[in-house]
Amino acid sequence: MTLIELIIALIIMSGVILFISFSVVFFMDQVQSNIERSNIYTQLSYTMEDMKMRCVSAIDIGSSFSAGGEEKPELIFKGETDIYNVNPDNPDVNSKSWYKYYLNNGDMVIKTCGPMDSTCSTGSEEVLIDKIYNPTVSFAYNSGESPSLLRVKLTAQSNKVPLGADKEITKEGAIRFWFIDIAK
Amino acid sequence: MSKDLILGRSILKRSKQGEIRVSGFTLIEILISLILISLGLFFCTKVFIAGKYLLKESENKSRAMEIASIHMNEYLVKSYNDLFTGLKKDSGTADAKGFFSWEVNVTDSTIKQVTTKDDIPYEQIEVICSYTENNVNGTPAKKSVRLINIVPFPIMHLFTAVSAPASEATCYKPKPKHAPALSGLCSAEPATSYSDLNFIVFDMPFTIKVQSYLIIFYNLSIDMTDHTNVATTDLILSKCFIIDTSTGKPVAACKDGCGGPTGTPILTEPTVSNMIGTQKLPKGAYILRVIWFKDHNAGKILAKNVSAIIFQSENEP
Repeated sequence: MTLIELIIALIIMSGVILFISFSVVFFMDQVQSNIERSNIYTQLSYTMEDMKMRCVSAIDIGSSFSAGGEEKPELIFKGETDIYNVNPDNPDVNSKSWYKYYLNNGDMVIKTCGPMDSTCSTGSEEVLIDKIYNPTVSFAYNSGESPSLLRVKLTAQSNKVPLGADKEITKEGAIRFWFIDIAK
Repeated sequence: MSKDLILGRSILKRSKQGEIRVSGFTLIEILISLILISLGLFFCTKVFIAGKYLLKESENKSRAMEIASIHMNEYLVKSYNDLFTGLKKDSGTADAKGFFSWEVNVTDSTIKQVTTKDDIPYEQIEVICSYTENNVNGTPAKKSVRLINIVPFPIMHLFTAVSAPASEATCYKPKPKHAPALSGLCSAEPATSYSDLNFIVFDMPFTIKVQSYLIIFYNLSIDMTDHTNVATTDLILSKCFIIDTSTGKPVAACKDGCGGPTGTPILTEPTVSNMIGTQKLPKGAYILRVIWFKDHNAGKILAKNVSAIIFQSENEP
């Protein structure tokens, strides 16, 4: 092997190694961003399902909407403590709890409060969407629609964006309330 | 015993003649390796491109599903009557760019009954959310998500109407067989039946889609513009009919009016209220007709306002 051959081989191999290294880094980055995106989807879907399941039993609302249409960053309502056992006529006071969906220090959370705490000021919290995904939430009632229909829009931002995807992920839904009107 | 010297992949071989030959990676070998590696990377890239396409496809489908679901919920909260009488078609775009477009179709449908019962009506809601996305090969293709749901015909219905007529009550003395308790002083010629009277104060058309029982409530608000010679015992009377629009005549269950005439002292009661129940009526289009008259000639009485509520039930109330 001549020196020239050696140098050419070295240059080519360096290029190949660099290319493979970048490919591996790129591949890992894509895998990570897809995992993160999948995680965001899961958290958004979980949040939306949580809202749908809790709001079914709502019997009172602490943050009612204007009949002319209004958008709010939080939702406070009173519903079943056991969301799988819907019985609005249950006279047991403790069978109901106040709930609040809102952003707390960047986390999208649901706070569960006592049956008399209509502003849901103190209670236990569960994080639904991590703040690392910079979530936003809006609850809206559109004028002219049924007063028992609430529109929800959730957004989150992925830190790593897969090829060809958008940074922001949006999930929208419409929630039906069975026992109350949210617009007054 | 081999006298070859092995240095990594390169082997220094001693030939029989004593020459030393060097064997190792040749340029051809490296080039072939490069081609193979390139092919591998090419397929990896293909996998990425396919992954990107699948990700975008999944996101688009998921978003289209959300949009369709929102509009489906929007229509499911409406009542059967709202869907029956409201817009049958609606459409729009879900974003400013118009990437996702949606349309809603509401169709009047019935479930055929095998028994003698009436077919059960329902409103079918169809929501379609469409979008155009590129296939793997880059060609645009129109895709859509389609949801269907129904709002069934409720067992109970309510029809309401309010009218502000300006008709004047006519003086009328019914035949004794129709109202034996009345002894009015009107000189009007008595009709053979209440259904022949043309003293209509209110007509309310309505349609029932299955055989039903009805409970009718109506309220007549009176405006007396002339009190001259009106006595406290003078009455204003009203009666209602269910007119079959196909024949133009009262239904058999209310042949001579539904229930007896309701009388109210003109001076002391400014309203006439009545509540009547009917026998089972077959499905069809009907008119609730309210007639009125006064039993004395004195005074001038106008109808200020009439409101009516019909409660329809498939079961006997």
